[in-house]
Amino acid sequence: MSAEPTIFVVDDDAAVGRALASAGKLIGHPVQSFASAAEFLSSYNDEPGCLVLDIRMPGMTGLELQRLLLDRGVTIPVVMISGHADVRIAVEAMTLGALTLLEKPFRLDELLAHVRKALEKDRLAREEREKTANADARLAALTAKEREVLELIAAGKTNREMADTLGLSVRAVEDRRARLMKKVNANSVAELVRLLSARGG
Amino acid sequence: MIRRFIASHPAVLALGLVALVFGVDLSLPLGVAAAVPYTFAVLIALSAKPGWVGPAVAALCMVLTIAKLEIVPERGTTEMWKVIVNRCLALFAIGMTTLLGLLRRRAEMKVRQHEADLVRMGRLAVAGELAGILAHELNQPLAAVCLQADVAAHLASDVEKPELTAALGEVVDQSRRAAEIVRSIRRTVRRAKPERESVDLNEATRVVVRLLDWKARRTGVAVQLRLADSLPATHGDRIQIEQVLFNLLQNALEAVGARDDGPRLVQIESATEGDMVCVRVRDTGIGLAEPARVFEQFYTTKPEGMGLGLAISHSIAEAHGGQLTAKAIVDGAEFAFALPVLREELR
Repeated sequence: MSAEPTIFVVDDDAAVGRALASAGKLIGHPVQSFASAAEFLSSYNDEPGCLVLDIRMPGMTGLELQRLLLDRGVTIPVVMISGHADVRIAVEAMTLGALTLLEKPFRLDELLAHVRKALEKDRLAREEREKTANADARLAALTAKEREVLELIAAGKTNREMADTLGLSVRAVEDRRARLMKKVNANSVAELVRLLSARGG
Repeated sequence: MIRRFIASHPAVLALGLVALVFGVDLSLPLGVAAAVPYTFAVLIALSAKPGWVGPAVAALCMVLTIAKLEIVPERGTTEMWKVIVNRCLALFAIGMTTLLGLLRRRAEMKVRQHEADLVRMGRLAVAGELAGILAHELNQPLAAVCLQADVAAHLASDVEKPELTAALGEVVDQSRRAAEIVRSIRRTVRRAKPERESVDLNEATRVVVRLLDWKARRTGVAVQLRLADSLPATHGDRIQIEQVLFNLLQNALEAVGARDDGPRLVQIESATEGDMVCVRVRDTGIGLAEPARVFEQFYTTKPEGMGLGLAISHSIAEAHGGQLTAKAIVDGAEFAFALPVLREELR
């Protein structure tokens, strides 16, 4: 997870692969080239980065690889490239979640702009996921009773109202609340609510 | 020899025959039905290239048939009404022969026209396919050139050499221009939009079998048709669909033709399979060496083949939302061409 974001290039044409690699290096990220979708699949293991993917390849096509990644829940952002982008293919690529479809030959600026966008998207997605995982972990430490209080706080209830609902003294509620805040490491209700909204499904 | 002469000089032969029949007719009494052989002259004349020769010879024959009444006064023992009936029958025979001959000729012309259309479309498809391959193959190195030149220009920006940047810019521009040229050729050759109409696969199959009947007979192959009684229509470009069937049958015939032993049979079957209509072409030919590769461009086992027929057929099938598959069977090969049923028919 801590690996440096990498630009993964999959193109069956070696010359195009080399050109994409030298372009990718310009923005200071490591580049890994693959000659086929199968080769990429066998070595990729959810490392951060983005995928520059050719559509027309022997064996598994770019669109098939994209669909497979989608099915496996791999969310690496994809920049599609194609020799001749007909509308049908373009629509399919976009539907499968490609950021863009560049028609060969394309300019360096175009490519790099989209690759930067893709890397940024991946970074944000990973950050978001980490936050979620973090929130989930913190919330998982709570006991059932503390969680009950948590839901009520989130619903905007005062301590008195909570005490009534739970049939406890205000004092007991206050205690539980303090314990809970400490456990999830939140300093304010606002922080607590933010944590709740970050938790996963 | 004689056949070739008939084929090359039908008009001369027809007129010679007319003269001969007329001579014989004149030398016989009025009552003899010597005018009927004119029909042979008409049949021969109908095969002449210009369409008017047949009817012209027929008209001549009719005139001569009537003319005999004036020229030969002697009618032997036959009564006059019999002579007239006799002549009328001859006129009728000539007339009907001409009519039927003309109808047949028209049907033949239509078949030949259809075949010419298919061949022309086939050539166009090959040209389109070649242009497509060329466009793709050239586009790859051009993309590499373009990108590498851009990278070089980027790296050179530190060097402060405007000439270098300009030169590299030129490389980029020209490679893009080349790519655009190749692409526009491809666009021009590829037919813009296929026609979309309701197509009866049975009918298309019959048309193609008729077109290749001569080839089947020449190679001594029996073509068995087992078409489904009621086949729902499919949707697409009739000519393109016929082209696929034409390719399949032609290949089947050639596969059988390339074999000296064994049964010489091509079976064509049509059927509804789920929401697809399917035509299967099965042959007892030399079989498939590599079934997985038959749809590859430039893959061929025929010495004079280009290796594009099945590749094109495959892409036509896919463009219609259908599929074309091949498999080796005992003693031959089987191709299955499936197309989706027209949606209105499913309801």
